[in-house]
Amino acid sequence: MAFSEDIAVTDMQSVIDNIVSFATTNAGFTLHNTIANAIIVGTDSDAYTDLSILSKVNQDITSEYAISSVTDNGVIARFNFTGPTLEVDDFVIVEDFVVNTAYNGEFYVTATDGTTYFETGVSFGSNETGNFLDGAYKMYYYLYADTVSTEPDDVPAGDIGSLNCRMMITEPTSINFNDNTINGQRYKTRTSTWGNLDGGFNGLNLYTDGNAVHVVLEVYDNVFAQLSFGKVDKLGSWIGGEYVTANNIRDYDVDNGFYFFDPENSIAIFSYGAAEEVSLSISSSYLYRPSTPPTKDFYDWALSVDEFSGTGVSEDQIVFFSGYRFATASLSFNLQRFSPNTFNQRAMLIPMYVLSTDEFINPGQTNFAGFIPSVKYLDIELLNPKDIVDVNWRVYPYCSKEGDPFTAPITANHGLAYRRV
Amino acid sequence: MPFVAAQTATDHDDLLDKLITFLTTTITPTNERWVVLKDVINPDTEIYTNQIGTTREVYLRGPGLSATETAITGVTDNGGLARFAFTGPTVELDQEVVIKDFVVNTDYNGVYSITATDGTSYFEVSSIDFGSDETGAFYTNADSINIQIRRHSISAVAGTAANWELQASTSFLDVNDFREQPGSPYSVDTDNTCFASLSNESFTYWFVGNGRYFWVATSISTVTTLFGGGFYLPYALTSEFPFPLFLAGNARPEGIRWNIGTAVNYNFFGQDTTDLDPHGPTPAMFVRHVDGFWLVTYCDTGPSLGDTTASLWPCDFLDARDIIDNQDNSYTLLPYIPFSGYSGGNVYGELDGVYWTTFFNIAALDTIQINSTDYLVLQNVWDTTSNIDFCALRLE
Repeated sequence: MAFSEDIAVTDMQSVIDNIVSFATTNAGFTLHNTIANAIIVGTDSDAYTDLSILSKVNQDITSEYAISSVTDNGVIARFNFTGPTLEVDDFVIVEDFVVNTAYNGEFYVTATDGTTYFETGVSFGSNETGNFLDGAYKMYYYLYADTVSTEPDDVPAGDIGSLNCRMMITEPTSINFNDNTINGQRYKTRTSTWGNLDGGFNGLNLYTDGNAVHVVLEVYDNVFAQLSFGKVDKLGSWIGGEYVTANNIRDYDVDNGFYFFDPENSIAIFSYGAAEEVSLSISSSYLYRPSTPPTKDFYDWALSVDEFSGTGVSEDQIVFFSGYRFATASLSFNLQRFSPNTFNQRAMLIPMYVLSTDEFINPGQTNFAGFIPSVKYLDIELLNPKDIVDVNWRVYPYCSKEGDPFTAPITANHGLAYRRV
Repeated sequence: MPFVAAQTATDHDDLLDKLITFLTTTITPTNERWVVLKDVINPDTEIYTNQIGTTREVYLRGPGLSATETAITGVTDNGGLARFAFTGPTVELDQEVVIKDFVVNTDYNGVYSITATDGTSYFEVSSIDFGSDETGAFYTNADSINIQIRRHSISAVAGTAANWELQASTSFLDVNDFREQPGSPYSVDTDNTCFASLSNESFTYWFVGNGRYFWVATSISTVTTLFGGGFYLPYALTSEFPFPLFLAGNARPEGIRWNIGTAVNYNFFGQDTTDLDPHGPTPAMFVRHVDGFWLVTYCDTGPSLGDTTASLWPCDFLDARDIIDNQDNSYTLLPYIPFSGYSGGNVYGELDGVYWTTFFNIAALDTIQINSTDYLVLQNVWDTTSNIDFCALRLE
């Protein structure tokens, strides 16, 4: 657990550098790669920071298998075992394996014919009868900032800033992206910084329980952009649980020229989901939940929208949070609606539950996936941004509690509290 | 938390005996045990329409979970007021205490005013004539949980309705009627009655409780009932919200036999599967607001601001009907949270010991285990048609 508040950041590069440093120091992430001058291909994007790639191994171990032998396959090791058929890009962990040189934790699996093999580029020692643990995998998180100059009807003309996070279960062979094409497991969310493209910013606030990383960037005075990624605290035991979510609120009144927060259709961080169809490029939240059939494509992902069409993704999987949505269908709608209490002026800190559906397995039914650690929803009618409640929870509005709608959306009394431990 | 699992009561009067034993002698630690303030057979045979035989009224008081027992070292007459001396915690102004085993000869209003102390703490009580027990003990931080139970039988269409009536109050006045104890739901609104549908034949029961509340679950033939009362866990300090009382029956009005298959015979967590009108017009659950008003508590989609009723989360969440077990077939429990639009809108706190759970792939009276704790699954009396209508009772 850790937190760091009011970090001085001058520009987006320093924001991302601080997130990377915080996540690697306090939440078990590894800086997999940093790519300068990465090309973010899209209709309207223009990267102006380095692309930082964080990774983290998920050790949701499903089974343990004995290695029967190890043979030298040229410069790589070939492990032999009798067990499940592994697919290309499956990730496994070798237990008690003696590694003599650099070990990057990655194993690449080759096709099998009767016996399953996997290969590694490391130099190994004399322990040729170890075990490996199946079910582990590595998740990659791509962080970068860019500008978005045009979006149909929902942003003003001209550039607005955007802090982005993509979550992928494999490292792509190319770091070029195209927002408008689905190509494997690439799911992106972003939080807008509106007219403030590259700083200066009022401060950066970071929180983690060791698994989830929460990013709260004060874009202007008491105006916040929010991003969160990592892993849910799962209810039950199941493979998956990684998520990304961001405050993707950029609704814009084209006719009147100001931002607004459309409670039914905005896709806020930790939201219950939008009521109307939205396109992949502006969805806000994703949860990794391997499905049946395990195609390792987008069906493994639960999306934060009720409906999803036109881009090949259907409503086969959906994720819901107990955060803000002004609709009766939300899990915590009434708890939000009747807060704060009039008898003591306190607002309930509502746990950030995560629910997901899988139409392949249980049509029309929903599972509890878990909850997001170290963040809770609360009504901030009687609170100010950055107030401390319940000893160690710091309060922020979703975007801004009040202020100038020409600068950023006004989200009124809808707030989040992050745990300061 | 103490509990009694799956025992047999010979009838609804035997169940009352067993509950008294559980609350007064079984619960540990001992300072969380309840006391019986009054236990009488009422010869009045006309309390209920078509009443059969007498009624039995039992007045119970719980000490409060945070109660600390401290010995009284002396009592002196302070100009008509009793001054109790003790060495113990500093008692604040308006803090309430309960005297254990103290003989009260006349009116007793249960309210003690605390005077300032210098070294030794004192508290004073007015308007009572106390007896000779000057070396008893008292509980500080006590909340005076008062629950009244009236065992009775009524000749009903489907057979004898052998039931309990329940009330809750903030204090006890011997001269007051069963339903009209200070601060009771009935004293606020005479429509606020609350019953448990039981049997005059043997049935299985479970008790769960501590110094702040109790739950009684029964299994009679194919139905399961759940009722109880006491304090919920408030989202407030004691000084902000004294007496966070709830009272939950499973039947209303009087004369509901255990096998009645309509919404008048519903547990507090039961709701109609089509229109969310859970108990017809007469829910048998009540939650006390800090101003003393009792909110009739529904399992529906929630009140409007200004309504004088409460609802229960997560039963208000329509999509909860679609929530099934976890991906590994384990179960998730959620607390029941009463909320209302009364007095500007409030979210009160959580019921303790009982939890919402899905009924997917599980049967009533099954036990599910979460983190080494067992939970008894209860259905909504007779109604099993909705995934919302199931509850897990913590057996710990």
